[in-house]
Amino acid sequence: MARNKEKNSHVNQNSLKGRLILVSILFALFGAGIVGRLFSLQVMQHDDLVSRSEKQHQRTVEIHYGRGSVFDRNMNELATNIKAESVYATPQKVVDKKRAARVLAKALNLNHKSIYKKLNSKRHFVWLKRQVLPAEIARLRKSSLPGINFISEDKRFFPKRELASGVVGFNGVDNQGLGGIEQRYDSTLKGNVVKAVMEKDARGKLVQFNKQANGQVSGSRSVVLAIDEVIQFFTEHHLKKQVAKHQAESGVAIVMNPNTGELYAIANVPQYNPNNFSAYKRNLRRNHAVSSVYEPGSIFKPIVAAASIDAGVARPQDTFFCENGKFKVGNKTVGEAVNHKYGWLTLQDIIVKSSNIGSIKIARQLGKQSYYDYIRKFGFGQKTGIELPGEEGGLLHELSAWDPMSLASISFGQGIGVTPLQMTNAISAIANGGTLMVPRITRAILKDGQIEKRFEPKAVRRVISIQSSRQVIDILKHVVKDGTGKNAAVKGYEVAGKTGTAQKYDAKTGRYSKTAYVSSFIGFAPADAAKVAILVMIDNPKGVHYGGSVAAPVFSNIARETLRYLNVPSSDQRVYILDRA
Amino acid sequence: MMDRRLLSNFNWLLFITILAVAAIGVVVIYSANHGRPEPFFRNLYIKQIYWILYGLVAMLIALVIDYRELSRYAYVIYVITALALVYVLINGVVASGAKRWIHIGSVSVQVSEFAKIALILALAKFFESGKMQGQYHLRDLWMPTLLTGIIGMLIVVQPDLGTAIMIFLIFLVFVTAIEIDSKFLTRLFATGILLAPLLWFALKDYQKQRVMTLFNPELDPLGAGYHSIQSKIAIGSGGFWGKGLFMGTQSRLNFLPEKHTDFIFSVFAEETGFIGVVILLSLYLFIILKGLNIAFRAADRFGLFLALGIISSISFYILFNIGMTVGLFPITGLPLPLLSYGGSSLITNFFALGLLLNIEMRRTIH
Repeated sequence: MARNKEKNSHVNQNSLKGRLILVSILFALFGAGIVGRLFSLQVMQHDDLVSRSEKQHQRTVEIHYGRGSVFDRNMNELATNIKAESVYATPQKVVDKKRAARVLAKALNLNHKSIYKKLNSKRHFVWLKRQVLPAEIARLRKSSLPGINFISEDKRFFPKRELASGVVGFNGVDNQGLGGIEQRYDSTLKGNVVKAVMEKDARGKLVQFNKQANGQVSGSRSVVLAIDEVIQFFTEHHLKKQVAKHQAESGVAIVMNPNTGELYAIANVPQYNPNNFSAYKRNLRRNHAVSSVYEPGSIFKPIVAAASIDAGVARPQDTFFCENGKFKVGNKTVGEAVNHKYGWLTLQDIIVKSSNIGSIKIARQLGKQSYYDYIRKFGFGQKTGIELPGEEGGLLHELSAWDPMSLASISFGQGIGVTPLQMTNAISAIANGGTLMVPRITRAILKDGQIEKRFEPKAVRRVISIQSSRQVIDILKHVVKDGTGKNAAVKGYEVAGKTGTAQKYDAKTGRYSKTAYVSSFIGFAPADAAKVAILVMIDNPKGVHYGGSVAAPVFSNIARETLRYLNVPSSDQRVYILDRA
Repeated sequence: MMDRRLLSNFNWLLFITILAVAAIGVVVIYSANHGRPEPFFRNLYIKQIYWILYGLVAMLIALVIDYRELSRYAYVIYVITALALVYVLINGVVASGAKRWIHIGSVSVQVSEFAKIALILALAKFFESGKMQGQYHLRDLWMPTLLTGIIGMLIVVQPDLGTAIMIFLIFLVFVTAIEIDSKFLTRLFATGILLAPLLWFALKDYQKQRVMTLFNPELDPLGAGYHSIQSKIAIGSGGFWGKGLFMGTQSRLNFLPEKHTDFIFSVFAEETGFIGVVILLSLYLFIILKGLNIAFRAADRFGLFLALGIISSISFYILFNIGMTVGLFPITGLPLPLLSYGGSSLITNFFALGLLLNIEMRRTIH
């Protein structure tokens, strides 16, 4: 091997080493610089560069996957998701824009011109139509136009259509809640990681959704309502029938558990279908139970009775002179319904016969300060705090703003504005023995199917004593037994309640209308151990307008079916005790 | 040819390190292209495996011959290479504005890669005999300057400034290593540094732009600064732990240009993070230190200079390539040794490292 001539002289190792060490140091400095630079980029500037990277390759398209469901109290789905397809275009990739626009307009049932405009946009991404059912675009898919793409996303779906739509609400195209529970609990239902991110490559071509968006979304939350879809169904059914029968403008009905404040049903008529909410006028989508303010009329009389009994200024059998049907208050004359002319009436009869003048007399005996305090204690003039959007607090003037007429008119339910929910809640306080509860629309929030938060019954305050409540309940029983509310009776159950026939205030003329009324009935059953409190309000029925004729039968129907559904024992049921011995 | 004693001197650890780096390269090339629709790109990693196999053959050739034999043919090899470079200029294939490749059959060969080795051989040969008396002076250096100049100019006009700079740096390493007056050496470097700005006028427009954007890439983020910014974003967004193998978004979504060749380090850094980078740099550091060690312990001057030339060439490539991806040096279009995709570069490096192993193997046989 080593046949080569041994070639000489070693390099001057010392000087060579010295220089090479110098070169190596220079080299090492560069190397250290690179490592330092890498550290700076990857560790110190990491966050900044990540956000630049994301800005570059991610396009956040607001597509929400896995929005939580809304259930009724028995876990029936009222709002859920279905798979839908959304069509988008990458305009640069559309070859024959004219033809594409024509095909798309036909397939998606859209305006040809607006599609053509979108296809000529400079953007890399334009939505053409959101959330179409897969079957509708099957043909479009087959035509496979270049630059037209499809994304599968969740579309909010309300399987029960109109049922409880006023409570459940509706959603926009990005699934954001726009009304009802969907709006109130939007952030809850939305979950944590539902922002869909599309990745685009350097040429702006959208590549795909990232894994997060495609995979199962964990941490999704659902809302369980207090609503019972069966009770909701009766309520809507009977209300709808009566509204149609009397050609009324609208109707509201509320079914509440007076002991817990839970709302079994809130019905609004006419209804809207939340799956197609945009086809309905804004007013139709309102939940009148919480967001409309009415003058309650005579259904407000139990409040003055309860207040004066609880304050100890009157007993049910105390008599008041009813002025034979005409009573001057200030410069106005107050009369009775159907021109009744009552003389002396007991407090009980004033309520049973619904005397306006009698109510004024009771209120005067109570005094305006005390009356005002009771009205406040019953929850009027302030929001109940229900977990629904758009709640109104009603209209109750400060005591200092009361004119001589105020005390008189408020005693029979004029000159005060209440929401149907406030009214139902106040009557529930009488029904349950005197405690005002917080009305509740939600029972629980579920996270991944497990209860995360439970809503417990909450008392606001004691309003009247148990004894007072008993006496008021007795009076209200008589209203149904032999007063204006006979039509509210339910076979087998004792019902307590009050009718109302409020003249509608006409803002144009500044007078109460002689032809337009709000007919209502409020009550509860079984009277002595109430399981349900129900309000029925029918706005502007044609023909007969008395609450006892229009609203009371609806109450009766709803109460009958609800009590049976809830297995509340009726007085018809006999209990046999078998003695086997 | 090779006997058992030689084999027992074979540095397996260095060999395995070299293979490991090349294997990492295959994985990163796969990762950089696995999402692309074109089968050509998707299958590049398979081609790279073939290049590695050819590289191993080249390495074997470099091992079985006695490196001292090469001393005899050094000038011949040099002349043949220079002629090949001339042929490139006449008959080469133009790609991305440069004439760098010639077709041999179906493969394109980048002759300048091989030219480096030819030059190193020629310079080692020249300095092998050494100066009989005293030290080298400027007038003694006309021959190596000419050797470097010819190859350098032939590469500059392609144009391939990056490789030309590498060749110049290799020449400087030789000049530093020989017996030369320290004062003279200092003066030489000082003059060089002073004259460097004059080079500016020799640069082509796109080259000037690259240098300018080095200092402020944000001036032209979509144009000249694009490569640099994208590379920095890729590396930085990888963070300490990386985005995970095959998960790099910047490379997969084609924001990174030249991602399997010049910017392969960015892909690697994005996916494996600072941790992965430190491991890779440690492997390179081991190769470099081992190379320097081999040079110092070489049996003769030819072996010393050959090893020094080879290891400094590889070191400069590593330094400049990574420096470029992190934005410290201008974009010069240099591959990362053993990692970047490319047959010419890979085979040359395997051959050169084969010579290095050869020099170590034969250092005790005399």
